[in-house]
Amino acid sequence: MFKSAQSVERLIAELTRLPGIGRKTAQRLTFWILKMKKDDAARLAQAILDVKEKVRRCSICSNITETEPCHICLDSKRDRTTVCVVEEANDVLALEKSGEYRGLYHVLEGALSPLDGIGPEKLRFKELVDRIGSGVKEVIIATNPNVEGEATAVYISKLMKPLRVKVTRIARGLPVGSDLEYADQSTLSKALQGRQEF
Amino acid sequence: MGSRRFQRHSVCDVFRVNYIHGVNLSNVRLNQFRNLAAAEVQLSPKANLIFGSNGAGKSNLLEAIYYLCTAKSFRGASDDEMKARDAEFFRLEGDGKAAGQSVRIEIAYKPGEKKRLKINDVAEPRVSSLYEQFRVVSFGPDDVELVYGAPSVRRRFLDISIAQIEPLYISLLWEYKKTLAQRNALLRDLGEAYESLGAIEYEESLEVWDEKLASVGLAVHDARRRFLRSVSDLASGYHQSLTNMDGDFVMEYSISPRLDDYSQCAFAEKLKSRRRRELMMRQSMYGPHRDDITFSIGRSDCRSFASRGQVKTATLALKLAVVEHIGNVCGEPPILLLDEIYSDFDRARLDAVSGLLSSMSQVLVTTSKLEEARDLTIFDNILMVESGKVALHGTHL
Repeated sequence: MFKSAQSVERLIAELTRLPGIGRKTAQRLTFWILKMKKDDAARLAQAILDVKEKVRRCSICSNITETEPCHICLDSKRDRTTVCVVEEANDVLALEKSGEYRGLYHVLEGALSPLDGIGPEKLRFKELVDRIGSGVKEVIIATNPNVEGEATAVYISKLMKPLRVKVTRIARGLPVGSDLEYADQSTLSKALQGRQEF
Repeated sequence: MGSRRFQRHSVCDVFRVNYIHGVNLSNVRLNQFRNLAAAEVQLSPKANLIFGSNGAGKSNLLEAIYYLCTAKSFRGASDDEMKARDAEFFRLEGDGKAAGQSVRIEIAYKPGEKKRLKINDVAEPRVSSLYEQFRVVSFGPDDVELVYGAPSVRRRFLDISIAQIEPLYISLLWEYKKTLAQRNALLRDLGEAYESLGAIEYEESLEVWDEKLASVGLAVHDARRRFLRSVSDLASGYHQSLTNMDGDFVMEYSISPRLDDYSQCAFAEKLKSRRRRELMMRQSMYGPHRDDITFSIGRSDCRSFASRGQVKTATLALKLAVVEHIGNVCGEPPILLLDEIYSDFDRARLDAVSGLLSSMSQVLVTTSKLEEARDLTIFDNILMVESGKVALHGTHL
């Protein structure tokens, strides 16, 4: 196989390690970077270093943050009686975009998955239990609606039982703005099961 | 008897016109599939006879048609086995009608890659959408394995049959499989610790997977029970009309775990009470993956007491029952593939079968001895298969 300059090969190899990027895409990105102005390339490199150096996890909710605690935990206007439990920090980002939720978060840093060696001891359940004492009235479980996320939700509800706190699970249903006929059958059937009085 | 069977159901009477000219494939093209290197086959929407010597490729043609409907082999063969030797890939195309609409299916398989499926020229990432197009039931020499084979053969029969009727069943099975894999991984880990420490660690994390296994498992049980309840009555009816007296044909669903009341709670309780055993075995010992069916004729177990001939008749009755059940549920009967039935049955049974065939939708029958099918006038399309080539023989024998 033809090999280009060694440094080019190295960049391609590094990019290939990123999720969702195969060799072809890595090549395209590499040649794009080659054509970039030097300043632009330096900015990209610096941005990557900055995330690694400045961003860390919030000691309370484990969301990614540059401040300690994070801006959500710090925000006095937010409702401190509800905690929304999510698997990953990017789920916080998604929920924040909706603008609907005004409470606090708790990032578990994963979901129960014995196949990947992830048991309860590897997730931030203990920290969640510790937080409940401080005036929390409702725990909203927003783990993913797949096998692992559902098992994690059951685990949380068991954990919360002795703590006398209201536990809710986000609804599963149809994507807003889409057509019923395009929804897949599993989603439709769950949406029917979870129907509400009108 | 046969033609009267369908009239018993009022729903079918309404659909009757549609029903008879129901699902059918009119044109099938094969490329590098087993010994059929390149073939184009025209089919009649009614009764097709395929003849040729042994090893010519008759069953392979039926297998290809079955594959076009399910993306699976009716012999349980892997995709690699179905690819012609030395070929890079195999490819199947089929045109036909289902639910009154024209449907075109294309499936290609290349080792090391995902199956490529197109329905009506649109790429379809999920094989499960194939199940809603052409429904199919097959019967052949290998089907005695339904009685003699391992329980997995019977579960496979259940799963493929139900998947054709209930589209959600496939995702349910997939969810169960995933849950089972997670639970087994946990039992492996905890089982090791249990052996060295003598105590169960993280018992509560096992409870979570117990509940999940129980809730998904119960849904699988429900679907299987529903299916068997409808099919077993039909099957004993067909068995009677095929044999006239041979004793009642009964199929019984043995559910795992055995419970007094089938609720999620009872299922999870059962798992809890057998926890030590599962930890020692380091795998899930109860659930739909351990389900089975037993067949009996006149109250004796088929596997130990029935002759091979009786077993063949019983499994044929079962398959015909599935055909009728699919027809009842979906409004049109499936395509029926009958592989080498003439060599297996006596005259009286064959007469009963051909009586039933005239009330089916599309039927494909193979035979190696043309004279055995000669007095059956129901066929309106006759194909000849010879060393991997398919030729039209005509519409009359």
